Amino acid sequence: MLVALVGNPNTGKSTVFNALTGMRQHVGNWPGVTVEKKEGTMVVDGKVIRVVDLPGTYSLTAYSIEEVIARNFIIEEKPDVIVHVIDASNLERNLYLLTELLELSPRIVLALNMFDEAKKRYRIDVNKMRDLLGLPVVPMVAIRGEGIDELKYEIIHGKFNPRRVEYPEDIEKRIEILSDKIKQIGLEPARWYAIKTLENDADVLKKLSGMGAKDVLHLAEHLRHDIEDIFGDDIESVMASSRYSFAHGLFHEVAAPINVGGTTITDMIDHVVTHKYLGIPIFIAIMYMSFQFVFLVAAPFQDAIDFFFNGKDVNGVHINGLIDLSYAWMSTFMPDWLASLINHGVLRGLGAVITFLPVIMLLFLILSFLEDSGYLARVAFLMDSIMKKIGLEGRGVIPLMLGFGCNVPAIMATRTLKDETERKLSIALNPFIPCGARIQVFAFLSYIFFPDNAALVLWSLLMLSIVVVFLLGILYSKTLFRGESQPFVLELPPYRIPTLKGVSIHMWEKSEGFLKKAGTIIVGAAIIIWILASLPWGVEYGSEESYIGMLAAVLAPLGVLVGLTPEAIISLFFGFFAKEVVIDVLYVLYGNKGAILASMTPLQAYSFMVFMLFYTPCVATLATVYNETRNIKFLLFVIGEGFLVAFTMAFLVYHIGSLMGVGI
Amino acid sequence: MKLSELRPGEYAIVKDLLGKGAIHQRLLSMGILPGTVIRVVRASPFGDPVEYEIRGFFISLRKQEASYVEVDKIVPLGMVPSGSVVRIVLIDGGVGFIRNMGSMGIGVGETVRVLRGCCPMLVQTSKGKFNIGRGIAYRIFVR
Amino acid sequence: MKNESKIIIAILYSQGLASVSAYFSAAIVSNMITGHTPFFLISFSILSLLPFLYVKKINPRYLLIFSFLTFLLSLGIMVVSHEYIDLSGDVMDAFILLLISILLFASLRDSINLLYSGLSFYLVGIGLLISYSALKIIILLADVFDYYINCIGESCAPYTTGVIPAIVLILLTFPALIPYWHRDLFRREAYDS
Repeated sequence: MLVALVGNPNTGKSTVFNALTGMRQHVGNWPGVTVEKKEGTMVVDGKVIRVVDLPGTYSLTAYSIEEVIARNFIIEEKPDVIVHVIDASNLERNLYLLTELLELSPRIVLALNMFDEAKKRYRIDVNKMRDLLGLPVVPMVAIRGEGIDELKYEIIHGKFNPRRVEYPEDIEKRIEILSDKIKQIGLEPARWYAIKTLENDADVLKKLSGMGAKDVLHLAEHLRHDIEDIFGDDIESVMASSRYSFAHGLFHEVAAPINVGGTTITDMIDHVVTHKYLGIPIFIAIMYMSFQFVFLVAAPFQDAIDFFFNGKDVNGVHINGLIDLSYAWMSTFMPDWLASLINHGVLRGLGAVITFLPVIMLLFLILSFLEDSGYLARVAFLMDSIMKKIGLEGRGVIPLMLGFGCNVPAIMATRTLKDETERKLSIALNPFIPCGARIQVFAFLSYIFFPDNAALVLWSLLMLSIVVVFLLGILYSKTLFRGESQPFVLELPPYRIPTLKGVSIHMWEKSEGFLKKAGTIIVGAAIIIWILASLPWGVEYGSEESYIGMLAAVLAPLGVLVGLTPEAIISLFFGFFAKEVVIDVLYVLYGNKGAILASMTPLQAYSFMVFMLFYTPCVATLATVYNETRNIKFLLFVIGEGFLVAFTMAFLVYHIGSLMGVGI
Repeated sequence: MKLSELRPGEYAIVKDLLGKGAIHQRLLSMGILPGTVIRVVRASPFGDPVEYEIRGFFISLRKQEASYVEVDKIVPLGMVPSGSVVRIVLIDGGVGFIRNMGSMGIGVGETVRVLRGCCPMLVQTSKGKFNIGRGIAYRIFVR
Repeated sequence: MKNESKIIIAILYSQGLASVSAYFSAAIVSNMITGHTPFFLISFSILSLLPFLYVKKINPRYLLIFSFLTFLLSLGIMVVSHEYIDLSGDVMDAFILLLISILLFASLRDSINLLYSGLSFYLVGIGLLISYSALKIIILLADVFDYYINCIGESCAPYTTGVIPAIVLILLTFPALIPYWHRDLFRREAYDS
């Protein structure tokens, strides 16, 4: 048995989904797009039932991917029962979607979620609603688990005898004519296809002309003109008005408003957090606090994991970590290269993956807290006019800001963007934001090469990255990532206190996804780096005689153009694995700080930092990019744009600097 | 006038939707239809987008999108100062509510005189003087 | 005592909280720039007497005595803080503390009239204050944890820290929550016009 969950955004649909399936769920993408697909199972009376959470939509038109996914799923997979999750405190608009669903399937269970909130606004007559609609109606409060058992009962035993959504007679007549025609060519549900054809639905029209049903299209055109003439308005408005009057009528039949005085808490909070002068400072404060929480609370856990795997040096004495111990143990019974591969390749890669875990978990704890509480929608409202300039909606500011901490969770956070094109644009821009690890390297190099102006140098790099992101954003949004100008209609839902369950499920999903998918790629890359650095046989790890060293020698002429030394190139290779390693590698190659200082002019050092600011992000970030988009071409694009921008910027810095005679 | 021309705190009734395609359809599915009452809630710090209340929920629209909505400005009875004479243009509610209001002489097209401002307000209709509470006064619209 | 009076007292009290927050903000900035906190900054406690500007609106009038008590309390806290509290921090700490005090000061004029427009600033200010203090305390705990993790295998001195402002602030916040519990006593601006 298959059950599909449908509903508007912000109706607590995923809470219902979590309550039904518990932890028996997994998250993936819908084929070909980055829209999230959640699937799970529930067991009722010993029967295993598959539950699919369809994307949240306001209607079922052909204008957005989410809506097309939802309706195609219903038509093609024919779920046995559709659970329509409704925000009971916002009944009228939610019922609009029901009018569209009823055209697709009669087997609908209405879940009136947030019934407690609704009771403060209306008296809702659930029995009358049941009778009028002829469908099972279950009042529920999903976050407290109320009504879940009743919902399960109705899914199995519900009686479906729905009332049809009637359009005005002039339209009904024409729907009849058209649906008879459509029945003949074998499309089901015929009434839905007839209505959509009348409505000029791009997808359905394409499908019909693909089937060669020219006469249907002609007939539809003719009928459509009739309707538009009769009602004196365009077809979409006419149909939407009819549906809304159904929803409106039903709403007033079953709900009587209670007059409540006073302003809601939501209104009070919004009055301040979107305030003309205080709104942005409050936003900055909240973001900064979230940021501190994530990275400072994660720090001890990351240190502990790092110590566990790698051990550490105390006053020149090395304390062994897991890798050292296991390497020593394995060398006793297997060839050295194999022990080294397993430990310095695989295990080190695994260690790197697990080190990310605390940050990812805490970040998604905060992020889902911000999202579930409703503040994220206000961020979108506040920042929209700034972010619009670089082709993103207001929420696009969040991944960009998170990028300063770590690009991996930042790219995972692009899911908060609802539009596919914007999400890709946001992912493409994110690697140009220097993460904490890169900033650490810059701070270190600045102190070596510019001891008097280190802060200024660091600050100039951050500004440079922001300028580049801004310019690229403008460029990309006008060229490669030009969306079909999706309208930005944003709902500002009431503030709610997020539930621990919802937040922790979200946190778990993200971490699990990262571990399983991105983790594999990172470990794979660790092995490749190990091979490149240890072969051919007998060379010192990562030295100039290794493959990495040879590759660096090949690239040296290119490096000269931007002032990079071969050693710097080798360190950048290792930086591909994890940026913070760059310093270690420079130390290994040069021996001490003085030698590092002597190896480059200040201008070369600055050019080196600019190059590192933009060139390909670390492997974990790339793995995440792939994991989020599932698109190898896009991944190559991200790598390519990085090198292109890095090379161009470093070239400009190096040559303009040389011409002006600065820092030679 | 266009929805984007209204200021925070003002009310309007939708007359027509311009535009085509995605924007048009999205506005429709959010319930912005001819006859719908819209309240302008507040503008964001940079003036764009603007928050609106429709049918009891809140949405934000960019200026550009709001300019696709043709509206007529209306005033809720609750905001009318005492002493004014106004004409009722819309009553927002179900059949029962409209019937109840009708029995007090408050119907679309009727003229009422406000004897005392909100709230509770006192109005003179063709059928006598009536006290009206805040909740109701903000569901009757006049021009 | 009448609930209205409780609310008024809590609001008068909140101005002391705001002045302490503003003091911490200024102290952090001055610590950052000059390395010490000038003693004259305790004059920030005068800000807690702000309610005296709205004498006519405070009803019953004798409640103003609580404003004076708040002034003494905040003065005391500042003097003690100057000696015993670790007033180091970064620009953002100072910024958030200043923002909190601005929100609380801005709420005063309308909130003593029991208007929603005042309560809104008040609630956001108090909410931010609680989140900020809680965050700082959690971070302190994480720092201690981190310190000992990095100490494994070494012989380190025990972690030392002064009392951080967040602890003072979160303890002082609780009485200021009263208006939230009695928010149904507030009303809209246009109500009595």
